[in-house]
Amino acid sequence: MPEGAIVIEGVTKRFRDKTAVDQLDLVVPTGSLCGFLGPNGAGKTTTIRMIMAIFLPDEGRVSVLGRPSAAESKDRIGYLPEERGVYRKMRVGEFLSYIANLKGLGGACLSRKIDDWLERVALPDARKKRCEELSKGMQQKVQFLASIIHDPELIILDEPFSGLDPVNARLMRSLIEEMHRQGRTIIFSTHVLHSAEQLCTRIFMINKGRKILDGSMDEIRSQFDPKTIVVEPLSGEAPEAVRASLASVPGVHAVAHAGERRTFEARLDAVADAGAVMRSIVERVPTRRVELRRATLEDVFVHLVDPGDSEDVLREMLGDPAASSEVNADA
Amino acid sequence: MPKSSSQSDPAPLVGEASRLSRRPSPSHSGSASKKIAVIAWREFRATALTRAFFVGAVVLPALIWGAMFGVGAMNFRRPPMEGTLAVLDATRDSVVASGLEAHFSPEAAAERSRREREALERIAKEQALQFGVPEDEVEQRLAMASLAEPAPRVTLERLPADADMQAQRGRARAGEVLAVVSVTEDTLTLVPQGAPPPGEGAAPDPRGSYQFIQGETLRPEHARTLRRSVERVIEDERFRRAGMDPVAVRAVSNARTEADAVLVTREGEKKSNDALVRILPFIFLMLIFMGSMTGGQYLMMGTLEEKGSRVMEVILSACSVRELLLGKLIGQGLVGLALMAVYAGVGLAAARNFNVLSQIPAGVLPWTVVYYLMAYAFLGAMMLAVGSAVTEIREAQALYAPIMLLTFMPFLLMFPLLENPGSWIATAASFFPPTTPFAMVMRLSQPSYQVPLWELVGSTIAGFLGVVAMIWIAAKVFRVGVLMYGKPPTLLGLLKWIRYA
Repeated sequence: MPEGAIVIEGVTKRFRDKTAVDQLDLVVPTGSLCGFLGPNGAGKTTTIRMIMAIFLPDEGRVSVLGRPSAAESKDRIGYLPEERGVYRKMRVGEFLSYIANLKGLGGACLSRKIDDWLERVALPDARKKRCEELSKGMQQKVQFLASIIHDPELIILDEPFSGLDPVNARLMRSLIEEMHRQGRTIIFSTHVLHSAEQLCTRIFMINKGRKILDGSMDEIRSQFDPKTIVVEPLSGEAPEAVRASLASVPGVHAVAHAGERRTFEARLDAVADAGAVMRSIVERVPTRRVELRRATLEDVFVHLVDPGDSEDVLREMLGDPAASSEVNADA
Repeated sequence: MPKSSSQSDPAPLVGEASRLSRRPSPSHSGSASKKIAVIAWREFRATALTRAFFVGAVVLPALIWGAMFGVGAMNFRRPPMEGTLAVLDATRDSVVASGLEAHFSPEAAAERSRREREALERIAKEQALQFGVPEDEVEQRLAMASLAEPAPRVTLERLPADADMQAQRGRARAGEVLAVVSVTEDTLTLVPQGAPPPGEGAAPDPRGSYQFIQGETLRPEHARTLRRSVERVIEDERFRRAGMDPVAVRAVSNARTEADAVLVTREGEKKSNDALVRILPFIFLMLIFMGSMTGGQYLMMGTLEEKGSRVMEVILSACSVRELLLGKLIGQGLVGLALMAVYAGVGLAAARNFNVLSQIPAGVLPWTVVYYLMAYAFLGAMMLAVGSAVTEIREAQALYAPIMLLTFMPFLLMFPLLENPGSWIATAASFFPPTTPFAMVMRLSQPSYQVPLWELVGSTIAGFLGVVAMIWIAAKVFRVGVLMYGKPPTLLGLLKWIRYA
């Protein structure tokens, strides 16, 4: 059996009367790019801190890079904590080389490496600046560099996109993708579902300390296939006629029409062949657009997380202007 | 969306410490010590190799010394006293007024200043012989001294017995006269030994007192000189009435009596009667106190900063809690040591310059380093714990109280320990780990006293056991505290952390 980069078995973590993580099993395959999702207070940061051996679990085992504790392989792990900062009075270059030295990296090549990386994250002149002179977004990028400057095999990023503007969020995504292509194992937690959907090969979702979703992106999509075809007729078509035509297509179970919108949703039978149904629709209704709706992580999230559990999370993820601006950046 | 995971209640994290990462496996001990060294070096560099530290440690003390010498020099420039002293003398034969007249006569004044100068020269020459003060410096000091006390030019005005004292007060107030003095026969009367003090509200006993009326314009040092002169004349008259020769009496009572003290020990004989030697314990106490407090303060502030700026977890992703704690302790320990080295170096250079280097017991110096390390590690560990337990400096105040108490103790102990370095208090303080280094350094630096060997060894062991215990406790608090934000714990809460950890 191939050993995962991170293997969590039956891990429980309690903070006195509150169970933060409850009997969690998780395997992060080597070389995968995993999204770690869940509402606020679900136990994401606690789980990550246990992976990093900053906390030790009350029950269960955590193995990281084949060793029983991350404490033994900290130099091979890059970790961007959620609570992150910089030494305000330290210069950016000094800060990065200090962290690199702590992780066992040194010598002449380090200096060149720091310059290269600063160049890549569009901070070419930052090296001599004090950290406090940087904006929050710039500091975020410096913190990210601090976590990956030593070329780790395993990269753990807790909320890497928080506080980044759309341009920098895109830069962060491209860096994550690049490191994934280089064969590194990456796990990141996020609230930006759209980013996770675009990037990840694998998704974990936890709620109230329990795992509620674990699988590859394709598996999750087929598991949560909404079996719905979205139809936008050409303008001028009478809505009632379109509805009737759609309802007559074999395999269509029901048709929904949102009053002001121009689109119709045709729900399919459990056994219907989506391709055949789409062809039939095109034959019968003059359409501008026919589309098989895919399961978005948002759908999955809403499906799995009881809104009562985390109303604030839903608000944050679905309606929050700041969150949606990050989503729009993907378009 | 920055999400705050602030912990509003410290309780949930209790129990954390035991679960935090422990020491790395033995195969990693090499990299652990390297990490500790990297952390220590950063701490040292970020603290000691800064302009702020240079200003605080070197420039500021220099300025303070400069200011003190400046004020001293200014004091020397006193204007000479010139004016009239009005005397209402109701004694038999007006002896006081006559005595004052003689006292302030130009001949007497010249004779006095000649004698004073002779005395100063004698002292200066003695010092030159004893401490090797250079010749030109002796001249300088003498010049300063003669500036210090220019001969006063005072004329005496005898007031008639029926003088209007109210008018005389007005003259004193207006500064027309230096002062108005009124003496009576009662002034010369001796108050019998054991006479009860006048009761509350009763009129003051007229015996033995005289009136001295001055305005605001009279300089305090001139008032002192005048009063000293009046009192001297009164005393002389009392001696005469008692059938004694005032000149002879003064000659006898001013004669020098001084012990030539020698301490006989197993190592041989030591001189032990110099002023420098008497303040040595205080100097050594201040040296280790300053070093350990400086290092400790930086530890607390540094830890607070790392928590406040949220850089703590970034650092902990690269090293363990234990490595961070030890690295910080060592780094700031070096800062304190560097500060001590600067001051001790300046002190030794000064001692060499004044030829008193031999008076400093050389054996105390290595012990000073040992006791500094002990004092620093104890205080520093406490400060580290406080710094890690709170989020803001304001919150640290409450937890700082026990540290304050601890830092007062050496000064409370100073007088009993200087009085008798062999007392049971001294022994107890030496074996009480928080005060061990301070007490021992004060006892060791007294050349007239030899600390028993068993006490030296025993208290040093006790002190270091205390340090180990304190670091152990601090590590527990540190482990729980470093990643905890929100409501600061109380002192009781901290004790709970230790118990749970």
